[in-house]
Amino acid sequence: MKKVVLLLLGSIICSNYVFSQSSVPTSNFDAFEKPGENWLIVSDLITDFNKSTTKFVKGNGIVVNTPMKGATNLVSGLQLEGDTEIDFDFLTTNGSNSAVYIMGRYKIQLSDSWPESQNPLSRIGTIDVNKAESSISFHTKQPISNVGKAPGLWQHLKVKFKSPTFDSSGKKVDKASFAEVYLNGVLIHQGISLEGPSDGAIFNDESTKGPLVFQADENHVLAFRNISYKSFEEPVQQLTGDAARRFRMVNPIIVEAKAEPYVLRSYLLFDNGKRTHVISVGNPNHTNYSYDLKQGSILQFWRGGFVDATDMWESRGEPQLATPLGALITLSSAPSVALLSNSDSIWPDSIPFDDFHNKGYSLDNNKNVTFHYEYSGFNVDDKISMVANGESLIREVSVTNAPTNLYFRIASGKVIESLGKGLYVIDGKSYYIKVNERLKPIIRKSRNADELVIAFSKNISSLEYSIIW
Amino acid sequence: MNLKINYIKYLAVIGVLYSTISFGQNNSINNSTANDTVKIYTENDIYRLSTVPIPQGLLLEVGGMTFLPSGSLAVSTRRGEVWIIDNTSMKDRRQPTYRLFAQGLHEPLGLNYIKGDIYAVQRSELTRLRDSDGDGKADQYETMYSWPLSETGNYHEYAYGPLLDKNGDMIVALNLGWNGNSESLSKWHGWMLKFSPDFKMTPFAAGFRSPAGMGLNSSGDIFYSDNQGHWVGSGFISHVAERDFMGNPSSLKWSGEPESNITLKPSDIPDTGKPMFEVAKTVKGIKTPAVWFPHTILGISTSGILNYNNEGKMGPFEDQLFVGDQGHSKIMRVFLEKVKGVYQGVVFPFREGFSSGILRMNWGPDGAMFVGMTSRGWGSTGSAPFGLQKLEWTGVMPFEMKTIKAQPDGFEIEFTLPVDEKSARDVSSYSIGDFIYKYHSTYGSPPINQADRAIKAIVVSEDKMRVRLVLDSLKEGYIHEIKAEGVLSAEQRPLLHNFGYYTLNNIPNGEKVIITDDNRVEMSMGHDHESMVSNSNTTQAVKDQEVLGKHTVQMPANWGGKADLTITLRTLSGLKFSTDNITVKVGTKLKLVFNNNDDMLHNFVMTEVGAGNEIGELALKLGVQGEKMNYVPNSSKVIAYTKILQPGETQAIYLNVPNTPGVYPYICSYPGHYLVMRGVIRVVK
Repeated sequence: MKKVVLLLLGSIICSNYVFSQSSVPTSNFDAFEKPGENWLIVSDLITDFNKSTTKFVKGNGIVVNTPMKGATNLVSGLQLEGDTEIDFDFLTTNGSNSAVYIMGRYKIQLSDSWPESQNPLSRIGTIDVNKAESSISFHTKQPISNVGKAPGLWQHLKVKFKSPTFDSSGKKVDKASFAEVYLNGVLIHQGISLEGPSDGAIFNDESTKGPLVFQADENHVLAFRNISYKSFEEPVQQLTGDAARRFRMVNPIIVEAKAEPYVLRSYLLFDNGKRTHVISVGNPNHTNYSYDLKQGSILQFWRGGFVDATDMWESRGEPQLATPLGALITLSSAPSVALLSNSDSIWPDSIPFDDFHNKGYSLDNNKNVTFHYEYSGFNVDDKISMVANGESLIREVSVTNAPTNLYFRIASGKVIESLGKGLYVIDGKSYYIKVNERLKPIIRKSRNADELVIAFSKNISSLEYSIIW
Repeated sequence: MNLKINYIKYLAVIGVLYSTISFGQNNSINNSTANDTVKIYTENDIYRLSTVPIPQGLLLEVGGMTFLPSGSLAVSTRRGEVWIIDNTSMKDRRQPTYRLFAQGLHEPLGLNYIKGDIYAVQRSELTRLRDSDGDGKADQYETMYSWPLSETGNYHEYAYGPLLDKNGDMIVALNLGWNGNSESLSKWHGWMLKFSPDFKMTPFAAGFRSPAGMGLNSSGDIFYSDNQGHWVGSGFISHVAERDFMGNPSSLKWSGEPESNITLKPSDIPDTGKPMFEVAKTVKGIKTPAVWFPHTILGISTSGILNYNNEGKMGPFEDQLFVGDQGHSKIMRVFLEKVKGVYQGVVFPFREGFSSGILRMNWGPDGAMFVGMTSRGWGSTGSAPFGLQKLEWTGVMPFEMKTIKAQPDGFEIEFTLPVDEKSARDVSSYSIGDFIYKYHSTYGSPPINQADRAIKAIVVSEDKMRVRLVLDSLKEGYIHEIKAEGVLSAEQRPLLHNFGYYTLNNIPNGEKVIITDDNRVEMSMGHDHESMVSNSNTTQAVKDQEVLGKHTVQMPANWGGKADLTITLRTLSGLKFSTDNITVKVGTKLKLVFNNNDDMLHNFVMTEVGAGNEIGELALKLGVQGEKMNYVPNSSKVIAYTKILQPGETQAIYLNVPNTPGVYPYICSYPGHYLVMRGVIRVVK
């Protein structure tokens, strides 16, 4: 009797385990089939985009693959069943090659192809549609855009997967498909039908059930964390009320930088509000940023397409908003420069409109933008340049008549880690900053954030750093 | 009775002209031909309109325009680009060439070449564009002055200029925002700003609503245009001087700022609906318009102002102003005079038929007028989304009223050609009336206090170029409608444009006409208030509805308290109904709810099968009466209608769907809207 009750209880728990938001813990290997020795559990890792060696921090929370001959894949104990939404963070290292197989069968490429891979088959986010298809054109499906990040940074994948269905005789009725795939918050696939298991799948057949499989790499470190899943139902397209009234199929207006950067002024949605004195710059190599003209701050940057300007130029353009098309990394609207009474003073949130005299901007021969402003008696030239290989943006700031207590805040984030030689990784591995150590950058801990700050002085009236992601 | 006599007389005159031999004319060549008829000139015969080609794919939605010393035309577009166009005259039949000079500005609605530089006005700043390395592209975008914008990121916060005034200062005007109401949502919106050569900013006038056009007259005085809206009964142009308050009180919320030179507060402006000139008598600082442009008759969206100076060649109208209209794709002409130190004058139609909504006009090579246009977001009679056209005078002298000047006892009309004395002395050739608008917070105003004027005497000058009309009385402050439909030129031609509207801010002092037998008028003709004659053919569909009435706003008693079907219509921006296709069964008891959620006036009119355009055209011709009639003509082809609704207002009407199946159009009959704002009700069995 007890056994039956326990079994019942167990099955109830198990079914709940599959059909509501659940996690696949990475604090130990309990949720996985016994892994090969290449897999470890750690709490953190220290690496960057170049290094071929990685240090690990003891603890748990992250599952990593270490280089080892004969490395084997990590297979979840969990069997995904039916239509499922899967989320997880992953981290590549320089040259790493990996993938995730949904149901152990359907592959999404997670290799390092930063910043833009020449090999289309290994581009991050590529999916295998039909390994049997002889024509190369239809074997794989490219992501809508390249929004991958540099090695050593956490990236996020969200997959809305629709299971294949079979009739009572076992004949396939509906194909498996990826309803939606998001990389770093950006839709990269939509409504892609899958013919069958991909290259490298652990099963040759198809089924309504299968595990989550993370592909190992014999030569490189990989990391995964925050794995969760839930069943999902595609919402019925039912617009009501205001949304129904406003819905109108319009031809979208997409702005892209073609041969040269596109410098565009618009309103911008930021931090749940609209900012009205903003310039966004789209580069032909798909690095883009937005700059607040009245605070002298980089508000955000992204890799991917430039902007959707439908809200600016369709009919009256009532919102007047340009919407970034890539994976946004959001910074702060606080000014980049501040006059502090001492090096520990709290960084101001903003400079009053009438005090900050923006003087406009100029373009160099490559149409890189230098912003000019005057504040409190000193003048600033703030230049942000594209880097040909698309890995980074370079910011060069010079100040004339700098007063003695002027500081520059390069970055702020919940954690700033120094990786040595002027390289920092910001905000829990969201992006890198590379700055010359001669500028004596310091990490301040304030409120609930870390800040990377440089003091201007007689010897330091200009600074330069790279934003790498 | 009176109207019929007028009408018949007019027809008779034309009939006589067509049937008798008179003076054959062929443009400027005066040869006597065997041709019996007198050529009746059209606008196109006098002012030729041509189109400047634009490369396909280039969206030249004109926001600002300025010619450069080289003769090139610089155009800023609403999508932030500045294009430089060469060979706009298409010399040697070559296409004009377009070069992208600047990009990424935020809806620049003004461009000007001033002292060696190109300046643009964007939403948030006055910008100087410089090409410092000479590669043909701007590489310096200098912020000469930056003003705040509403945190709500309001699309209606437009900015215009810069205009160079006679002192060498730059003038910029800021539009009010829109949040269901015209409101000044951030500092200086609704003000006109002045910039010294070193770009120190001084706000110098307030009360603006939508100051889309600005220009100097020949005396170097600043004029601006506003269009119908809250506190603005109808479009107008107004003279702007230091400390003037132009009418809309919302911008007065900033009058307490240290830079402000205006002390009026919003609460100082009474909301009574009394005419503005009356309110101005008790509230110092209110500036009434120089010339009102009666709504829907002379435009609906007054825009660019162009002074006819020595750069232009457009007929015998030197020193007059040309004023564009965005909604009706046409240009008006204004003669100004100063009476007792205050500007006033008359507006005439000038040229219609432009391809899109007019925003900017500039004098170009050879005295031609270049007209820059856009209609995105606000439909216009010219249905193209944008365009650039050229207007040239053919050199043919048109027969027009050149000026109308106020007199102590009436008006004096000056013509461009000698008049035919008989028709000029005939009182039935003329029709005079007056009216005014309410000054109140409501959006727009109907004409009020309309009255006819009687002509007591007519004096024709010896050279036959001028006709002085002595009236029974003059109403100071009122708009006078002056029609001269029956006046012919000495060569028996009718006027190219036979009416004008004179804003009589002040009655001049001076000598009145001594009435003698020579100039006295025998009978006085009433002012014709006619709208349109009803068609006596009534369809079954109309009869079906007539039992209920075309405008039933209460649930009909015999419906048992319930409609068979309720349909709610709203608007979409760009002058559209929220749906353009409704299907209903014959005989349905229909409750039609129209919710005007747009920022303009609209109505809903259901018409007989195939009659949508006809009703729309009739509505366009309703004239001054239109507002009172909700712009619904008295036609049997109208099945049902709502009244004209304010922005944000809703009305429900009850109608019986016709028993005859068919496709029944519905339109918004507000003048100029019906071409885009329309749909169909498919009635099925």
